[in-house]
Amino acid sequence: MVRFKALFGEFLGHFFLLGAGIFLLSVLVAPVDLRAQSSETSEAEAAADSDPAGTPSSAPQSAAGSSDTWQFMVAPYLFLAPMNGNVDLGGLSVDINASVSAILERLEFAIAGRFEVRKGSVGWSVRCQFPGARGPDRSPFGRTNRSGY
Amino acid sequence: MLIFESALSYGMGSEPTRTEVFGGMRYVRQDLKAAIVGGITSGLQRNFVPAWVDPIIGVRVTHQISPRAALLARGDIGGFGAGSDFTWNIEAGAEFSLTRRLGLQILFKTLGIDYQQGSGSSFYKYDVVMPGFVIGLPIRFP
Repeated sequence: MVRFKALFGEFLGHFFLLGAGIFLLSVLVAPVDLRAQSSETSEAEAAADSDPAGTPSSAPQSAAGSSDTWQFMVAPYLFLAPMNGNVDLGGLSVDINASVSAILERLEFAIAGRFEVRKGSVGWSVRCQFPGARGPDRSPFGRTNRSGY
Repeated sequence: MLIFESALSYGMGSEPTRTEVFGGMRYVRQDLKAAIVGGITSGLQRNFVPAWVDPIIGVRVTHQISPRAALLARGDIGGFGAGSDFTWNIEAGAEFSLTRRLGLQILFKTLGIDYQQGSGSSFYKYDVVMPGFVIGLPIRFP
């Protein structure tokens, strides 16, 4: 139980951030859909969406819009990352082989965010991956903290 | 480990398949806490925060397979001795539109870093491959 609490304590902040993010997303997205349900034009759009033979109205913009307008994309990400490799600090070398199951047991993941803006063929993207993964509990140079390997 | 990435891209190709080339920077900061276990100095801690910036170049390809689904692939290489000796990152997966604005991305991602600094007792080497899965919820507007 102590171990569980120690594990969870570290990630509580991230879980909270994720929850808040999803809530914000639903607030952002829901009004659009409600309006889409109520207005006639959007109903037609929705019908076109469900009909594969219909004119592709809004969905294709998702990944490959070619119009010359400003397009924005923002995305929260969850990154599950086992790792393999070698870390050496002052001559103390350690091989790291964290399997996927070990990762899942220890809930090792990172929260990431991406932002992209595009106009025509030129785009700018920013990505940030916040520390979230735990390092190995025991290594030749002691216990590493949650963000360090 | 904190990773911050910024890149400018130029896109080519039209509707179903779109290719983008990009170039930018990847900032990596690690936060290591080394503790001595055992002996009279047991419990002594030292914080070690290596940080560096890697130049990166790469390609991203998006292929729309249906109005609601697309395949994504992205790869970059970098470092070239400026920050790390070499770093690479590949991502491949799919995106589905859940609503008009909200999508769901599921990607396989592998980040490799080969970095070293210092010598002797301050030598630090980080040569690691991090394969993993990425789940994202992209929102697009307008």
